[in-house]
Amino acid sequence: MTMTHQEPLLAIEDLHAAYGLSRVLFGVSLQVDAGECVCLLGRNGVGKTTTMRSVMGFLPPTGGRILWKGTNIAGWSPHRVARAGIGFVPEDRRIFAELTVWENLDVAARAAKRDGKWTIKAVYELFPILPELRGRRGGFLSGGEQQMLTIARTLMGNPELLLLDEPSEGLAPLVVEALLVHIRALKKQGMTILLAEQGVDFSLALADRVYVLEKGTIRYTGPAGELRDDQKLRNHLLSL
Amino acid sequence: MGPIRAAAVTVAATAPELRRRTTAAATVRRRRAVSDRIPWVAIVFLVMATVPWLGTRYDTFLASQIVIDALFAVSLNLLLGTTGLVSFGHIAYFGIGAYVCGILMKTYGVPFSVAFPAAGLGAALFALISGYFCVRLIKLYFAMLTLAFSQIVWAIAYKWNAVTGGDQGLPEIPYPNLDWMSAIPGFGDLSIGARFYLLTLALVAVALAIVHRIVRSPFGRVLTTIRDNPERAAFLGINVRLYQLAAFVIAGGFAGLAGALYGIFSRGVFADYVFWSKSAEILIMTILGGIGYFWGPPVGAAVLVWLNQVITDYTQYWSFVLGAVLLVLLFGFPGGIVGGLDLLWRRLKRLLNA
Repeated sequence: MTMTHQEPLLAIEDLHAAYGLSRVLFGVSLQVDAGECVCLLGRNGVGKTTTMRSVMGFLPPTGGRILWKGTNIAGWSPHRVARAGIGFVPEDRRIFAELTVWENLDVAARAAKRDGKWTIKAVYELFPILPELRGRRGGFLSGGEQQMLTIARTLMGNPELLLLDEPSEGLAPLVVEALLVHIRALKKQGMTILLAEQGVDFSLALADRVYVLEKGTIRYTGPAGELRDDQKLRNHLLSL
Repeated sequence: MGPIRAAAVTVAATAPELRRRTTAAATVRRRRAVSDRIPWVAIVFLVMATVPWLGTRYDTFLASQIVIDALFAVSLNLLLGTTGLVSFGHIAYFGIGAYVCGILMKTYGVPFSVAFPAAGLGAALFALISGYFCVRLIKLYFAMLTLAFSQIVWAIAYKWNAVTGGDQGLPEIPYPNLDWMSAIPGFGDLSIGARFYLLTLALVAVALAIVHRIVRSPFGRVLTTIRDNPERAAFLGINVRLYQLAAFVIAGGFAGLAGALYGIFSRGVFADYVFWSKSAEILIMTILGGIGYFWGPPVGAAVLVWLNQVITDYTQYWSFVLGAVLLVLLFGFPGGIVGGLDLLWRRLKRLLNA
């Protein structure tokens, strides 16, 4: 052994999951290394969200392992997973409507009980629109503002891995553009990201590596550049 | 009481729905400015304090009932409005408080200054035990389990003759010694009942201030996030069950304090006080007043106690009238009485500004 192999931050091994009797995941395996941006691509209903919910502990897997820095966290309760350092930005991106922007962030910081570089000041710097809105109730924000607040709120927990579930869904093109800039900035700062997306352009603009999911299994895996350059392969895999 | 019970169950079952509908109103409420500058709360407490001098004995009796129910309803609203938990068995903690205080004072001659906090602690302790199981279930199952625990408490109160007096209850619970009040100018001529009312008012004021503080604290904000969406709260790292249990214990403790006051006020504790229909009554008060507002439940308590009085003077079909009032309120003002007043106030302001 001349080379020390670095352990992946997150390694999912042969994950099976089901909602009641309907099985959704059939042996999904993937891994995310520290500092990487990995994208789960696939159409609606192929199991992207289910994979993320299983990692977060909302849907205990029926088989397989979820290794977080080498520890199997399959079956942990969601708040334990969050405190272990996995931050989840859910697809519905709903903020706490009755709390102000500042209160949303404050609650998250208290809940996670993890110290780190992400403070209110730091997230305000990343999302300059938030300090202007700090006193506003979450319910009065636009879709794009809510998405930024959701990401900022998750960052307040100082996660080591960010799970982003369909961040671009339902947002206007201009807002998606702005979001892209913000997520890129996050990535540049060294944040490890696992992204679930339907939008090919959005995900290929961000990801280092791509997993294409189909009917609950991994259909393809490779560097994002390969998919970006090969139109034929893209059409073949995603038939969008 | 029969029809009230039925109405209460219907009302309680729609509480989460109601909560959602009042959220918007509550959000706007926080932006209100003008009415916040008038110290409504202080004014109301001062007016309440004059009742023994300006009112009749009967007024003092009604005011006592209102003040005690106000604390009880606020403690329930910590679960219902703040945390989003519907409890059908909140009377159990009220009852335990009444029994603990009553038994300590009557059977063991313990002074009120010890028996009163003990009642709160006893109720909180039982809330800790029952809540440990309740928060493991969600929604309707949670509600049903709270009901089950409250029926257990009732059964014990009804059957454990040696301690609770069983069917006969615990009559003639002594008043605390309030002779010291004679030293205060103007208090000399007050009856013991009036003095106890003033003590009750002061204690409830302090208790409400504490609950208010809790609701507005970061801890209270976490409870709000859980009500909003427990799942979302969990992935921020919030231990949802632990916080729900904490809210349950605090609510139980304050219900116990209200119960302790009630036992002394009504000069006895009886198994009837713990019967589950009482949980329904307090649910009605809370929803009637408005669960989206801290001062909703006290207003609900005042209105219900007063309505009960007025209506029974005219007709024996009190529950019929109550049902009609509730119906109008639920459809017309989903934010309860306070929600309706808030709406009216804002409309008025807009009219004056225009």
